[in-house]
Formats: sequence, C-alpha cells, structure tokens
Amino acid sequence: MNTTMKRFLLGTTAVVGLGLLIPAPVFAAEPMSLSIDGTVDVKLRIVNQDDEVASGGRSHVLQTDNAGFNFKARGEADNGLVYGAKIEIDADAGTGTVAFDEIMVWFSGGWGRLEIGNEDGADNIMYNHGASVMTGGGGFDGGPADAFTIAAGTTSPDINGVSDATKITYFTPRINGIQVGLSYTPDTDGEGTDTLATNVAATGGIQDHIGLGINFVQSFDDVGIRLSYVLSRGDAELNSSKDTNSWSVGGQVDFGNISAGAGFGDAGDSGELTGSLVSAQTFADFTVRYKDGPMTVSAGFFSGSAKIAGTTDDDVDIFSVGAGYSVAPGLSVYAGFDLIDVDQAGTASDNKGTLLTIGTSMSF
Amino acid sequence: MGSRLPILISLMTVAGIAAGCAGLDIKAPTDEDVYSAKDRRAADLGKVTGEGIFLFGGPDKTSASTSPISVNSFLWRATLDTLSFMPLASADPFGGVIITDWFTPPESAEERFKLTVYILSRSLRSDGLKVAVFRQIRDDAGNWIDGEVSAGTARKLEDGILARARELRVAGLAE
Repeated sequence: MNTTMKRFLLGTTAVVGLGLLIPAPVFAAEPMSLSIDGTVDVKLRIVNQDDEVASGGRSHVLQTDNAGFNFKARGEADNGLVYGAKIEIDADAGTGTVAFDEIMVWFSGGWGRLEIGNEDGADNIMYNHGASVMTGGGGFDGGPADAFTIAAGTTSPDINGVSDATKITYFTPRINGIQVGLSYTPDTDGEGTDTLATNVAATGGIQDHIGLGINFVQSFDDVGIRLSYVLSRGDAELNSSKDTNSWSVGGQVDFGNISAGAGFGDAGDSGELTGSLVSAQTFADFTVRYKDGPMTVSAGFFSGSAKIAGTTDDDVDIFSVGAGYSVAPGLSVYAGFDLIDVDQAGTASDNKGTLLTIGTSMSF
Repeated sequence: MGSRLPILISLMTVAGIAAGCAGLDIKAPTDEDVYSAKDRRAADLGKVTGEGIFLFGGPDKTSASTSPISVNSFLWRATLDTLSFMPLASADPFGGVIITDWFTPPESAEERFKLTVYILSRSLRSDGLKVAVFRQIRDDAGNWIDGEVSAGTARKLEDGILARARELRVAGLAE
C-alpha cells in the first residue's frame, strides 16, 4: 500500500466515522455510568518433566494471574448511539508492578461498532476454536509454558492478533448472522503516547498491520453454531525478518450442555529471520466441554508444528483435561491436567511430562 | 494457491453476505460480539457483585429499569399510552408483550384490528420494539375473515410509540 493510498484511506475513514457518530440530533443526553469490576486468580502449578535443568530442578510454582481492575464508562444517546470507554489495570504484571493494559473508547449503533485504543483486534476477538471452550485454567491455552519448559519458537494457538498495540477497529452490524471486523495497527510495538518516531523505529515490530475477522453466529432450535475465519497481515520493521501473513479457521457448536470447538491455523514463515528454513507454522486444536449446573468439565488436544527444510519438524502436542466448579456467582475453583510432548529438531530442546494446575478465581 | 486462499475465503464470505441481502436480518453489535476468550470465560463465571460496582450511573438509569418492569419502562408506558384507545387482552410486563383485543374503529364497522407489541430491550432504542398488526374484514355472510394490512402500518405505530417514549423520557429527565 503506497503512502498516498494510506492517507486517502485514513482520511476517508475518519470522515465517514465522524458522520456515523452524529447521524441525528440528540434530544436528551443519557447520564453516563461508571463501573468498576475486577478479577483475582491464584493457582498452584506442579510440573513433572524430563527437562528439569531449565526449570532449576523446581517442580512447582505459585502464581497470581488475571488480577486487575476494569474501569468502564458507558452512556447512550436518544439516537441509539451507545458510547463508552475502558481502562484496564493489570496487577499481575510482575513483582510490585501495576501496569495499564487495555485502554480504549468505543462507539456503537445500528451502523456497527468503532473501537479506538489499546485493545485486541478483530482477528483476535472474532476467532473461536478449541481453546474457546476449554475450562480448568485454560489447558493448552492457559499458559502451560509458565511452568513447563517449552522451547521458544514452538507454534502456539495464539498466532493471530497483535495484542493491545494502539489500533482502530470497526465491526459491522451482524447481518443474517454474519459479522465482519477490520483492525488497523500502525505499529505493533507502539502504545499510548509513543511518538511517530518511535512508531517508525525499526525495533522488531510489525508496521501497517491489518487484522480481518469474519464470523457467523446462529442458533437452529437447540443447536448454536459459531464459525470464524481470521486473517493477520503486516510488514516486518526489520529487513532481517519476514512479513506477517497468517490465517486461521475455527468453529464452535453448542448443543444442550455439550459444546465442541475446533480450529486450524497457518502462520507460514511469519516473523522468521530472512534465510530461515522454516516454511510453515501450523496448529490444530479440538475440545469438548460438558456443563452440568455449577460443574464444567472439558477435554482437548492441541498440536503445533513448524516445518523446517532439511530436518525434522518442530512439534508440540498437548492433551488437556480440566474441571471447574462454580461455588457462587463470581467464585470458582478449578483443576487442570496437561500431558505435554515437545519434540524439536535435534534432541536438545525435547521435553515430555505432565502439568497439574489447581486454582481459584474470584470475579467481583 | 496457498497465498490466495485467505483472500478467496474473504471474497466468498462477502459474496455470501451480498447473496443473503434479499432477507436481511441486521442487528447492532452486542457486547458479547466483542468479548475476547477471557471476557467470555469471565461472563460465564459471573461476578460476586452482580454487575460490578457502579461509582455513578448504573443499569437502573441506562436501562430505565427503576420500576419492577423487566423491559424498558419508557417503551412499556408509551405503548400502553399509545394504545389506550383499544381494549387490552393481556399485558405481560416481564416478558414485554402487550396484546390488544379486537377493535373496530367507529368510522369503519366492517373491519377490525388486533395488535401485538413486543418490547425487546431494556434500553430505549428503536430496535427494541416490534409491532404486529392483524386485520379482519366482514364478508357478506357476516363472518370475520383475515384481510391484508397496509404496508407501513406497523412501522407508523412503532414510530408513534417511540416518539411517545422519547417524550416520557425527556419529561423524566426534566424532573
């Protein structure tokens, strides 16, 4: 995309967006509301793995996770425009550290929804796959590498999206069950007040990232279906890295108390160093969940693979089972068990073993 | 082919949307549409405080639910007000359904109307209301038979109710 084209696109988007936000006279302003909520999650992780050297011989770790506050403002105008802002404060960023995470303003109405700020993009939010129905701490999507030694570079299910880098996202209305979302992130390592100079500095991020999400949500009698396709593209800042170009498909089916989700993604050689022999980074996952009153159980499988020319593939397979019990609204206890097998080219990074997670989560 | 597949899927989806334009069911994005996986898990879990702690404002104001009525109270009152000239058969304030009895306009004794109004939202918004109009006409034998309803009749009634709801809310804010 050349510079003139980008300027034209951004300019017209801004004008159209402004027009959408003021479609008709506002007859009476709705007073805004401001709410605060939060979550604290604590868990014990016990690991049994072949590679005990990397973990220093320790077999357990106690963590606080997903801890933080959300401040949410929300208002509604008579013309149907709903608007709001969100500031998320993370209290689990590390020892004694409090960090601001997601910060954004949003506008919504019959024309769709516009989000501007530090927030996940459409290619992340709109994706449904096996991990979406995993319980018991998230299993293979619950950060097993926090305790189990998984060599860097191994493919994970999180191949889409550019996290909370400052971006603009537009979601269409849902039309016959179909919704489309499009995100534009100028620089994936630019957040908040980072200057233009910081944005364009070649620090290893992705420039002009486009995230596309399309999903279909529909219910047919007792069966609920969610199908999704997401696309992530951007230019590498460093000449020594390859551009990002990944896509994923996935879906979820709900029938009574049973849900099943599955997904497949291909990140190609995204982010690899120029000259890398990695030609394809793919993942597939599948999970089945059963809910009965306050109890939820799930079982899932994840397989990630990176094809490397001239040698064996890098593989990681994780089988996860989990259970959660809702003691009261906002209070739950959970347990998860993962069977993990990491098989990389050569044997130095191979690892195999189990990970047990026991935790409790409180949301208020 | 590999690099073209994502673009192909995108184009097929857009084409699918266009093909379905004949009977469009358009809904504004909901909060759930933009939930991340983390948000979805949190929503399943609920909150100890119910809906979080409101420092000011809150659902009682944004949804006009200070009354025990489970749907938007402005739409509810505006509907009753607008249809006050018709006899009511039933009114369910929890489900948000108002059904009138058959009503024969004084100036037209050979036809009668019945309305069903669905209030679909706790918020005062234009898509939170749906009106269904039924019309019957009397045949030569004196029996009532179903007749056609003029296009736009339901929409005019919806517009009338929404206008009244807005008046009620403006009056409420003034107080």
